[in-house]
Amino acid sequence: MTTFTRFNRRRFLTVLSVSLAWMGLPSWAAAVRPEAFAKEDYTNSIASLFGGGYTPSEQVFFKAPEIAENGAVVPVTIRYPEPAKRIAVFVEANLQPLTVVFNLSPNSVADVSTRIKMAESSIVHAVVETQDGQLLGVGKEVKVTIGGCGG
Amino acid sequence: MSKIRIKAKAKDGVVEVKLIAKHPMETGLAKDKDGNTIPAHYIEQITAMANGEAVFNSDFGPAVSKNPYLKFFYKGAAGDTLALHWVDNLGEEAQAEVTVK
Repeated sequence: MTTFTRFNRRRFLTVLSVSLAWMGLPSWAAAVRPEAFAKEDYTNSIASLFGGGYTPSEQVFFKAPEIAENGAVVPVTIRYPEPAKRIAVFVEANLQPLTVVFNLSPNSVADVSTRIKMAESSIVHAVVETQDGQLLGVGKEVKVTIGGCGG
Repeated sequence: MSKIRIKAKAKDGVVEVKLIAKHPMETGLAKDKDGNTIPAHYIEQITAMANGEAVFNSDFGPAVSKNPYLKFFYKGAAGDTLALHWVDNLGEEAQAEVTVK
């Protein structure tokens, strides 16, 4: 019994220390998963993440296809010329609009790319939270020929 | 195939990192052949550390594509040790390390 307890304690401590090494992130990194992921409405989701909507800005570069043949793989790129705190992508028509949040560090360059899934044609918003707390963004319509979220 | 494939190249004080994480990224909405719902299984966070210092991280929802692709940049140099780590909604984890070229 003692051995069993010890093993668990040691194992727990190992897991804890490994986790802490990865969780020992500086203040810029969001340690807690944003609740905004659970929101099923775009307005609620962006309000939950950023506290409100964004101001449309031409400074935000947002590349996404006008027509995505396959909704399972839609490439997106977001850039901002200045250092930024966070960049987020929302797909209005997805069940959970918030798709991805990039938490940038002081050493990051505000230039990120990934691939996302879209259930159907939708407005996709790319939102940049600047260093001084402004919310700037761009919304683009992406038409989807084959949806990529259901079966 | 490793669970994370990384390419990291330095140019003019900036490192370009491209990665593909091997992961099914199940949304929990899709059904299998027999009509059973496939449970949600997706990466929740990817963290990047350069020489032990966190330089970038990303929170994913289930709508990031299968085998997530990510490209980002950080201020760094050739020779940096870049470590990437992901954790998914079921608590599974993977990590990989490369030396920046």
